[in-house]
Amino acid sequence: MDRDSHIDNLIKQTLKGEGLEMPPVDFSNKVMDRISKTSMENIYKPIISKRIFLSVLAGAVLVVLVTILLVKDPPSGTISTLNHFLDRIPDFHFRISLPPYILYSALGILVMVLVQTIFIGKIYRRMFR
Amino acid sequence: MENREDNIWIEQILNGDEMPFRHLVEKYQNLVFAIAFRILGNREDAEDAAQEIFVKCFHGLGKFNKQAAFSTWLYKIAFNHSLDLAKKFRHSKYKTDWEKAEIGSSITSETRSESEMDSRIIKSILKGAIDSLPPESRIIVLLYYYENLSLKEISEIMGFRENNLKIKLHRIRSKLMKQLQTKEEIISTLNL
Repeated sequence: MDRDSHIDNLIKQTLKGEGLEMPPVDFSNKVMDRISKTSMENIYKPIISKRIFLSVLAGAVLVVLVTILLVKDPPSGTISTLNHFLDRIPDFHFRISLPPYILYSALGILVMVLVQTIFIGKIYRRMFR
Repeated sequence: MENREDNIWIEQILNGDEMPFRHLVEKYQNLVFAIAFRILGNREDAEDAAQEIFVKCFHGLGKFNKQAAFSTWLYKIAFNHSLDLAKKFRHSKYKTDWEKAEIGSSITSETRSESEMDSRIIKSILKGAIDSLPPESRIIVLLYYYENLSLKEISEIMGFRENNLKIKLHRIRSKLMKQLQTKEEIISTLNL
């Protein structure tokens, strides 16, 4: 026990006498530079990350596939309503004749992008506040 | 008191002010650098690692539990990051760098009293013995003897159980004592 405290004291004295290895004088400046650089990188990050973008894309593809596979009925209300609306414009003879699945896909993607943008915007605002 | 000061700075940083982080860097840079240096073994790698440790710490501040001591959390990052780098480099540079520091380098031929000379020789032998320990043991020595951290804090930093740490510390002590005795014997024999 006595020997232990003797060696303990000796180690303490040696280490204190020797001191620590010191970093260079401008160390804190270098760290702060690195931090401001990485902070800038964070600021310029795109709002939609690659992962989210891929999941949106996958969702869109899924919507298209589901629409193609499941919607077999002739053009339903949406196109007829749109065409009816276009018919009411004088001297305008344009009728939308898109296959229904394309229209549904486009609408689906639009809704998804809008929803994602609103939600992602909220999340990012909360993160950076 | 120390924790309170750290927590105030951390709060300011989390509120978007980067500047108080400089205070944290200046306060803890020596020990973080020493940990990295003792694991990696050379100044360049240690400096780079220490910078990375602080950057990592800055970006992870949101996860820091303010009930715990910031220093313990930072040293834990320092220890783990340096170990990861050492594994990544897969080099044993630290050995060569430590070997560069000759055991008797601090013994000069200046005329000193015999007891002063003895004490210098013993300390220099001991320093050499500490430097020759494995990196993990060097960190234990640094945190326990230099930083005066408790066994509980060290076990938290290094991820050991407290009992396990006690055993390690006992082994380190015995090893240093043994080396000290052996070298002292050699020196005294040479002097004869």
